[in-house]
Amino acid sequence: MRNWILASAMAMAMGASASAQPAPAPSPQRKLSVTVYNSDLALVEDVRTLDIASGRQRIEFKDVSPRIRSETVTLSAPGVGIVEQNFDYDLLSPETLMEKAVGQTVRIVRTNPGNGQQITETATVLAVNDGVVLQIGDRIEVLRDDGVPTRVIFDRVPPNLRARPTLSVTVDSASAGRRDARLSYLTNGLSWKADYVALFDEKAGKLDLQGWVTLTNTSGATFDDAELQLVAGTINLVRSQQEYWQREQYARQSRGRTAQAGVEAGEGGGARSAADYYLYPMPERTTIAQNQTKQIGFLDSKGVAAKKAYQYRAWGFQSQDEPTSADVVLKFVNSSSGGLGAQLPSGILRVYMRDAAGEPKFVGESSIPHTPRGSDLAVKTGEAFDVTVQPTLVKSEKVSTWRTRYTMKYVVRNARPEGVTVEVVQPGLWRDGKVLDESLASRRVNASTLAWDVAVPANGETELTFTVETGW
Amino acid sequence: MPSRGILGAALALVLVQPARAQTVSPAPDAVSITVYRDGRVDTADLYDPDSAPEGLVLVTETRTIDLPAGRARISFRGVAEGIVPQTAAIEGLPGEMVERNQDYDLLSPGALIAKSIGKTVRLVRTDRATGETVEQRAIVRSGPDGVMLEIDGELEALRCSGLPERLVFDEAPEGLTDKPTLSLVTRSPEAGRYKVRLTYLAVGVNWSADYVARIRPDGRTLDLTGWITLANRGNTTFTNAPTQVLAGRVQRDDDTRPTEVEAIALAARCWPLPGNGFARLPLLMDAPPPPPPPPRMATPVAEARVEDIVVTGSRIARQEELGDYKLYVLPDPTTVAANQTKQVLMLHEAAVPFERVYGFRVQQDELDDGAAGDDHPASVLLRLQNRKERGLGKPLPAGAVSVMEPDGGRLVLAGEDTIEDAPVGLPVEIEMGEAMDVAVRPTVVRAWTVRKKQRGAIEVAIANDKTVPIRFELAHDSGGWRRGFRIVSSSDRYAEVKGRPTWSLTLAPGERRLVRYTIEAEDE
Repeated sequence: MRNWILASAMAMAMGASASAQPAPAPSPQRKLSVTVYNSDLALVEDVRTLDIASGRQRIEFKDVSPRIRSETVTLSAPGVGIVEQNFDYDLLSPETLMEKAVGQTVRIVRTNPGNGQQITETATVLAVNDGVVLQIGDRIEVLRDDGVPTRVIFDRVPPNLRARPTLSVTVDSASAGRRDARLSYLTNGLSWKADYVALFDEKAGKLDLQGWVTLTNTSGATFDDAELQLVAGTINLVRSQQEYWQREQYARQSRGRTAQAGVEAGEGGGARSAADYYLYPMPERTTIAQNQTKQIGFLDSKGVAAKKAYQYRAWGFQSQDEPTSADVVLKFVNSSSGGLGAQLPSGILRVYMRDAAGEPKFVGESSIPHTPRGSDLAVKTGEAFDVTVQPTLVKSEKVSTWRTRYTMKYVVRNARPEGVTVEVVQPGLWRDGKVLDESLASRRVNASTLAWDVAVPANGETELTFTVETGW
Repeated sequence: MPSRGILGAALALVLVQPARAQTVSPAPDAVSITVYRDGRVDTADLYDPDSAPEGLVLVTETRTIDLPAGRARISFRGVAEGIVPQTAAIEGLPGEMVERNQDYDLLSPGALIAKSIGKTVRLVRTDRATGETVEQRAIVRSGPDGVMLEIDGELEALRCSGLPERLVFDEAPEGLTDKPTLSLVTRSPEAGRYKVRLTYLAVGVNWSADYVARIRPDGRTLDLTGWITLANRGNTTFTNAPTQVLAGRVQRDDDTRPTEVEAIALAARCWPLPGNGFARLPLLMDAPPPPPPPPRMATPVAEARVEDIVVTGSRIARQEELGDYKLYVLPDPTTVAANQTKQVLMLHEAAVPFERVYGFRVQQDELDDGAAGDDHPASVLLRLQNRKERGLGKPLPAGAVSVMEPDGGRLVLAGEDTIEDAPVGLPVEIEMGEAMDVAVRPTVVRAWTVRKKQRGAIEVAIANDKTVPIRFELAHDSGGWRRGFRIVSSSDRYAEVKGRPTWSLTLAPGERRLVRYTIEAEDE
């Protein structure tokens, strides 16, 4: 794993090629496009001008992400056929170099610790097994057996040993010349999520909502001046990345054949819907550095209609010794009429309110799912200090073997200086559940769940009692 | 120079780009903090680095920034160490914000090598005998796991020969940072000096509440003192900061945490050496490379110590409302130093009346198990009414309560309990432990079945061996799930309290009392 990290840090460092391959002439036309998915995955498309000779040749790409999924690499260029693709990760180190030097000659330089005198000899490496065994002339010795400082000098690097993992593609070109080539691959180590900041004004019943894309790059590579787009949605990549990618790859290969270089330009801003997910093209090219968390704003809505609500959800029909705080929930509608109306990719929504001095203070956070336009949002920010609910099972009676009648009492208390309404939700009604008696009118949320809106005066309490009968 | 690879193209492109204006904001002018918690925190945990909950703090900084016109990158230094970068927000900048970044590609001995691959550095060797140094140009050919150098077209390994040798770099590589750094890219219409406000959430600061209840000699009232303990487990000192703590349960998400950062270590492994396997050969003058800095973890490091305990109790924190929480504003700006625990008075109420109640709960499940007929001690609890007219009427953030009782002129600890967040209006009950002189013996005297329903006749004997009259509350706990549970008959009057039939009794000194009742439940 360390090799990857290391290689990552130097993605942009230029090294000489260890292999004897002729490198194509540098070309300034390079266009990077990075599409990042929610789940630690990104599609990198790298369009660059390559000078490709006629015939069979190997092209090396050293600047790809070290966390590349090499099985997903596609190189396409007009008039070029792919012979094979290799991803080499035999890394150069003293250890590997010595191992590859078995049977070959090296020079050893001994330094006399007393007077600094140096003696140079030629040696053949016989074996590297828990120590290096050398043949020097007609003697067999172990390297540095005596602890005397000894340098080992190698005259060359074996071609397979590289400073960092390297992608190479062997191609067969019908003609020589410069042309645009498109290299695309999937890589791990890039992911994004949304972060929202909601400044809630309780009195005005409004909130200001800002949305940020938070992109994290630990892939090992830096993507310079890249066109960036983000895909929101749970696409089948998550369940079957391989299968999805294979389909995508076929599509891309056919596109490559028609020499359609370049990336489809997105309309700046707003999300574009592509099939079952949403694409967010970022308005400007940006550099995504290794070990970087990058945030780009994508949403800024002011005056979204919002209100605070109190909720309490019971756990069944039972008594509780201590009162429980009601949940505080921020409710708003993701619609144009409500002042919003944009797809909200999943992420964490952090809510702030102004304190007595007018300073915004954090009041809680919750994650929200991918939220399409028109959805209702209810975000729990915390629990109310002053609004509590205490349930008591007053009576449970057997009606028949499978039916029981429960009488519940909920004491809803409010220590706030203003009246509040608490939604008390009672799950647990099973077959043929019905209300026999209730002190307030209930709502049937679904087959097994009832809800009451309990109004509680300032510094007061309200008792909700009801009797239900339900089968198991 | 060997021929450049394809990458040369990309590099050239980067180099010709105009450099962006860089602005560094070294430190905040002023800072204020609000400390959060999600529920009760044990003060003992705040002192224990291993179990200390992370806590959460909202940091608000004001900074002065000199901004050039056009696109500029502003780096913020001196932010709290536990910063959660995605929560950062800035106000007061002109123009538009393009993006904000946190960079954590750290400068370390390993990163220095990694970024130098393919570059020319200087190799300096020192002769042990003469002390003379020899310097050679070398090209770094591999990374920090095992460094190979190209010298005059030949390869040698770094630090495998046993000679004292070091690498000298001409400059620190670009893009590496000493610690994770928050930065913004903005585009401003004109240059100028701006006052901005930077806010963010960070971990590493937490708080707890503790109460001391001193029972007065009259035995009917107590003095209640509440303390806020503020613990800064991080390495960031907030200097002269207006400080608030927030009581109540704030909803949190696990993803709100600092970036986990790992520095690249310099391992510099060699080929196998005799007896050493793959390790580097230790040599006299060949000092080992400095150890990699420990990875910055989200939790405080284990050796973090709490050194200072500062008690500033002369003034009381002011309580304000924030949404549905209670905000406590510390009386003065204070310096919350790194690895410091600070205590501030939050509440002081004198002569709060209380009631001492002895109690016992008959557990029906235990009766069924046949564990009946033994003497059990009654429990003792103090009950306060949290109302203004009963001497209190203050929200009480969850915490531990120590009850002190005068005994022969000295104060003794009578018991400790925890309370949850207690709003005004509800009773507060503090369980102090078991009573020495009040014994309870529940017995099932008869069990039978009537029309497929189980019945049980229960007798509870209560003995008050104290020299004072006591208030006693006996409750019957049916286990909660029994269908059709009811009291068929009872020798004494009872009421439903917290869903249990409860008998409220007063026992004179030395009195013995027998409570008899019959229960019924479905046979299932």
